[in-house]
Amino acid sequence: MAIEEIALAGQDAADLMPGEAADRPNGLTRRVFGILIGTGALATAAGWGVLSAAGGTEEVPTSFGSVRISAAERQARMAGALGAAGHAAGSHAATGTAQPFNHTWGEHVAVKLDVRNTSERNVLFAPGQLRLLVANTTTVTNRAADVAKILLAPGSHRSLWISFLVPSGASGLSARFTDPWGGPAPLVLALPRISLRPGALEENHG
Amino acid sequence: MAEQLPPEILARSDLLKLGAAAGLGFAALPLVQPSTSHRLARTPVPLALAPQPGVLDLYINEGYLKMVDDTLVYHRGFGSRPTDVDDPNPSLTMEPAVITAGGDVVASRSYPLDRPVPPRGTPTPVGPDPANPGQYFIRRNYWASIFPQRTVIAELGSTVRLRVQNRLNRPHTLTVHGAGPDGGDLTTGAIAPDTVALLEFPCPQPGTYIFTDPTNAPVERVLGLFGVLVVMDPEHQWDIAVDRATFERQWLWIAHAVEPRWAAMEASGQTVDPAANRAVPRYFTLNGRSGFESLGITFNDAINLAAEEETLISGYPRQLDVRQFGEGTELGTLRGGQLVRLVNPGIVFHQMHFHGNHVWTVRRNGVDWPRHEGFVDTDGHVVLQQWEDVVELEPMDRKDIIIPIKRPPDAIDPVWFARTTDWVYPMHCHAEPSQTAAGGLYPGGLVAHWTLKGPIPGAAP
Repeated sequence: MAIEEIALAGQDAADLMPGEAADRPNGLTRRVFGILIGTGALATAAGWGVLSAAGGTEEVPTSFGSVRISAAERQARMAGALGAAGHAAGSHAATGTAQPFNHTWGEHVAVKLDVRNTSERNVLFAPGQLRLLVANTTTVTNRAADVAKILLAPGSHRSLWISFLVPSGASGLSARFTDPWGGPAPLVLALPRISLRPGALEENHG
Repeated sequence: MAEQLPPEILARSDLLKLGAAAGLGFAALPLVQPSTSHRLARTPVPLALAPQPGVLDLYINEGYLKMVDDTLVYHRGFGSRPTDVDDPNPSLTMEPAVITAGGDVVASRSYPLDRPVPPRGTPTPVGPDPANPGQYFIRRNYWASIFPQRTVIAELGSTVRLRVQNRLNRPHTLTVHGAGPDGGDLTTGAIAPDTVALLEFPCPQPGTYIFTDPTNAPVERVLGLFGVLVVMDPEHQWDIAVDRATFERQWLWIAHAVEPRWAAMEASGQTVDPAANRAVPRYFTLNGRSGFESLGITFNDAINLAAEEETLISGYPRQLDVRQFGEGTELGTLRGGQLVRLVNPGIVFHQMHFHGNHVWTVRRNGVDWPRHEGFVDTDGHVVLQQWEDVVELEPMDRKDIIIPIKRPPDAIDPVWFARTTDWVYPMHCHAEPSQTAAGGLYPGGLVAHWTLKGPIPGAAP
């Protein structure tokens, strides 16, 4: 079964809600993984090396090991001018994509964060440690993630999908990672080439 | 007062674990302690205290909690079991417990102990009130109330015995504010690292009390070292106190504000100077939850149920008589509302604003407000029982309010009689920053709602 089929079979909700993905312990949530295709997602089990071939970035050292964003993908949230469910209102001037009725941002970005614990102690991780930086001014809280909070055993690593909303057509995105045991300033993480997924998130999964 | 941890209070199983795991000599077992201020690399030392009858054990622990935006923030707290800083589920809030007048300590989040728990927190009524269509007769002296984490319930006449183990590497204190015979504080004094102190005192008068670690105030409190003592008269389990308001059930709302910068500094071994490092709280909680978690609309059924049972006020509409909250018209029924104990161990001035119904404030910090001849106190507050839709809650304040759970005054007959579902009203704080999380995530902060239950199918209108 393909990764999309696995995800779609397990979920039936209509839209990504706060905390939804975080409450699914297996991580294969429809709304995070349902929009993801290709080698990036499948490489979770394959390990670190495979992801590099998908255009990943360099590892950034942390107090416990390293982090990096190895894949990223964006997709419009709404389809057409009115949206499949009639929830869209107007379109974005530059991109022409339909915009949500409630004036929230019109695109969805999912990034794959690889976290490696090379220390000799257990390390807690929560997806809110990663925030997306938009327009060099605003950091964004995640919209959903595979896990709520996990414990990384010494010598272990995990690859996790974390998703965000961004303005339609936003460019120059980067990320900030807060290391609770590191310095006070968040670490700067570059995003790899962002794949554009055709269609619309809420059309495909609404 | 604090004393060094004697070996005999260790559970036997813990001694075996320690001995086997660490290969340490017996005398060294309880006192292994790094000299540095930073505890992150400390070897776990599971020092569970051996239970003693009539004694409630608390552990001063540290760890990381996930905030509503999935961020990890360092906390300290009075927990129910010993845990270490890298525990994925640290015990930083104690499980509710009841200290009975008979001398027992009973682990229970509901009180009275022998009464039924309202389904999903909502007390069901006796039946329709024929004289008031759409309203119901409320059961008197029937339902238990459900309390949140960090609650100790003590019955009047009991002796409170709190045994506190400090598992951190600096001295800490547990102080019960205003619970002394003269209204003063009761304290363990400084509890040295890896030692235990016993605080024993006669249960104070019925009311709501805050206990904290006042060390370097308010820093340790902000980090999470606080809890609430609720004192009930076992002869008046549905009254605030003798001859005071009667309620259908009660709720305990504990407000708090989280300051991640202070937390990070303390976690790294620094000591926060609250004057030099002005607090900028970034998360705001009600009974330990924020935003959609506080509103019980997550995909986690356990979180949703806990929010409904402990925080999200609900009840069936009733005819309320404000002149005397204990009055009823039928045997076994009550024309009263529900009691909400508002408690603020945090550092933010809150303005709790209720939609749908006004609320009636009856007492503040253990002092009953008058119904006549009200006055303005030295701080400019009106001291008079009255209807309010915003209740001010200063840091360390405790206010008791009655929410009537009545037909909203602006619900005209055509609207009221067309009602088929629950009506849900927001409760939010008018100190607007407290409605956010992470510097702007709205409404991610201290929010709740209350529910006026809809008609019961099949019941007479």
